Amino acid sequence: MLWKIMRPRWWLARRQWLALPRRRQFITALFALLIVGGAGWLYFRLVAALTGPLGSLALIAVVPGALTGLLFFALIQLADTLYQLYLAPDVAFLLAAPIPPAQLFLAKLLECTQAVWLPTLALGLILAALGAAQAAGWSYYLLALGLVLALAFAATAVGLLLVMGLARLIPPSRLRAWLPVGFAVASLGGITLQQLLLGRLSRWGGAVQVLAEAVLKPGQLAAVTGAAAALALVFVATAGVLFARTYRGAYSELSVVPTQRRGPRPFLARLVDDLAGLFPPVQRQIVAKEWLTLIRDPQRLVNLVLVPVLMAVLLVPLLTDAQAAGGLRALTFWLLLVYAALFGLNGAQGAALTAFLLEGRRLLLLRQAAVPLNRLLWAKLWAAYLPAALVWGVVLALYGSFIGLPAWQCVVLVLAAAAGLFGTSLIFLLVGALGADFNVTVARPKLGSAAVWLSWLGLFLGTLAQLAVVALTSWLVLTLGAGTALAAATRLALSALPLPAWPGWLLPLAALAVLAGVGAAGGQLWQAARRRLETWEPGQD
Amino acid sequence: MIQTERLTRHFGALAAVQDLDLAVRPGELFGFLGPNGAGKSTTLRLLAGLLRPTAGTARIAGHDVQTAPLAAKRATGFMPDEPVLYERLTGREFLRFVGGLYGLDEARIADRAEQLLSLLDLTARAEDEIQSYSHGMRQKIVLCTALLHQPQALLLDEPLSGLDPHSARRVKDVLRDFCQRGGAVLLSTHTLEIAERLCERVGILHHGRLIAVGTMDELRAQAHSAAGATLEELFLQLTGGSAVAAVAEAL
Repeated sequence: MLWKIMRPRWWLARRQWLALPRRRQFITALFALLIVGGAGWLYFRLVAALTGPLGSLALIAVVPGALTGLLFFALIQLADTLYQLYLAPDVAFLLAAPIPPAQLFLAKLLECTQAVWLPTLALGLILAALGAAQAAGWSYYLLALGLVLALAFAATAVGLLLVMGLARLIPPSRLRAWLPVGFAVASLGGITLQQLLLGRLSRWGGAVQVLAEAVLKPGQLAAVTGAAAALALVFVATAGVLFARTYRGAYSELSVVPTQRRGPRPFLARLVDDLAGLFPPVQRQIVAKEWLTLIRDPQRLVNLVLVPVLMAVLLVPLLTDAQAAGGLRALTFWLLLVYAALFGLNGAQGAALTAFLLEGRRLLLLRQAAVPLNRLLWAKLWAAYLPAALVWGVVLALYGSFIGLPAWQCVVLVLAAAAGLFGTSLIFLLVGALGADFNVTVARPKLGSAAVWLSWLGLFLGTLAQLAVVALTSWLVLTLGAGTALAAATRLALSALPLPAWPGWLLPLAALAVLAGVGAAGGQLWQAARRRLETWEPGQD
Repeated sequence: MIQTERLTRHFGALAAVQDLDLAVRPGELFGFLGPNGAGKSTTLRLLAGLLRPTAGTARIAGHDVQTAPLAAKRATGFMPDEPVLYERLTGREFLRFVGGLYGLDEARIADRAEQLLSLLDLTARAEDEIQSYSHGMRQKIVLCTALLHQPQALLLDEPLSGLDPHSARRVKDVLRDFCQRGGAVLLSTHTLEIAERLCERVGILHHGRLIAVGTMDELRAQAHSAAGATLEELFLQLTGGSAVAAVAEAL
């Protein structure tokens, strides 16, 4: 029975592979080879490090990456378990079939292990390298394999227990909606954790050495493996009991999202109504719809906020170093300007590119209504641009104040970010309109493989727009703020560089020319996007 | 009110609709029948301005769908075969959104939304997100959007599919009332009993061509059938499905 349940997945995987075009098959095979090659390279590097003067202490270098990786994989595993248990399309079918609960549980347990394959492989690699470095006997490898497998099953069972427990409290589909928030927090936590660990690596030396030595003694490794196996058995058995007792009931009760709301309209929805009311009539409702769906979609909200916050977190160590360096302190303005442009490009891509991608088949609604499509494009642009500009403005202003930048520098940063974001949002919105698949019922926030060239075009034009804005802002700051400490520090820093003596007007002129070029390309893209929206037909690619 | 002249649409080598001449008068509820793939949905999409005809013309309330698309769309309410909705909007927000697309002011949208939600028994769930709606509720909210801007013509693709008897009755009443006020309805359906009872005239489309059109009596005459022949019998006879009926009877 277990094989019968699992078999369709094998068929599907095989059929998907066979259905891939030759080029995609080649790329996938190449990717698989790269993973295998990367694992091999890592193995030999580890063996070399472990046989070097540091011995097993060399494993300390792996600690920050391993702990951060574990954090991410734990979340990926939770998401995958949630999907396999409650949201996968085959669940309803399996539950309706006369399958004994124990068989169903084992099938789900095996399916859920796929999320831990990669960390299992990494752990196996480390143990194998440790064994090779110490010329361990065959019993070591056998026990190490047992340990890895036991840990994989224990981790999977813990994931099942956690998800089944959580699903008793929160409906699975709502849980899935809020997972991106978990990922965002984990990303920020992971980066902070890594920075903290890098500063305190030496403290891990003792623990790592004790662990490595314990693993290398056959008697101790046997005890560790036995304990891990017992732990795995206990977790799997507990998960099995919980599955048998609660799964069917939880699935039937919790698959439906109760969204009935009573009482006054929530504050944010009222705020959206008021703000959208500032737009002309037809655009008003499109903007309101975009913003209402944004504030109710945790994933899109996270995407909006994560990039600027990530930039701020990533800059912390750099700014700490700059503070220590003293003289470089004044130059943090440039760092923020360039980072905001780089990350802003990514932020605009997330917000504006998806404006049409997420419509999918719902474009029918907009096409069948009496809406001039130019107005639709403008409404979509404002709806995507303004929240992104607001978030970037707030983050930059707060961060600038926090690190003690003068108020005028904060204002310039916010204005430059707003200008750069406008250009890139416009380009990515149009790229999205040109490349979106409007036939899909479940729209995805990514361009299909057929529209990759559009993605590159957007990236190229967006980068040009951001570079031009940075160049123009730099020229304005150095010209209009010539007497400021920032300008003086910048001139001092630049004087140390072997720069050619270009005339002062060349930079702004070049920046304006680039902006004009991007604007002209944007105009062409606008016309092309409008034509596509006007002439698109259901069923047409 | 709804008129097509030699309307034709090809998809590559396939003629989905071929030389279709159709006229639905003001106040008329016209049933559009045909086997799967006959071209019903394509015709409705051509009339709604979602597809461009390969040849011929389509007019709604006198406006050519190709040359005056905005005027034609303002006069049309369209309900596609599968509801197209924004899951994270509430029912009332969705109506506001669609009302805005048709240029209605806020006060009018609010009035019309209230009337329609009440008429189709959706008031109690109007503040819930659409993702929690059943299939029938989704059908009804889409019908609300089709009626919201008080169009002169309605194009409905399977409007009664998935509705419980109570809701189906309400929708039928709404459509009859719409026609009594002078509106024209072109309704595509597979449920022949509904077409027989609800529609004044019926058109049968087969392989993209209109093979029969008229009242029940006129159809019987065209098919040389007995006076008591049902629409199902006429349909099977005209579309060559009598063999299927025999097999079904044997089963």
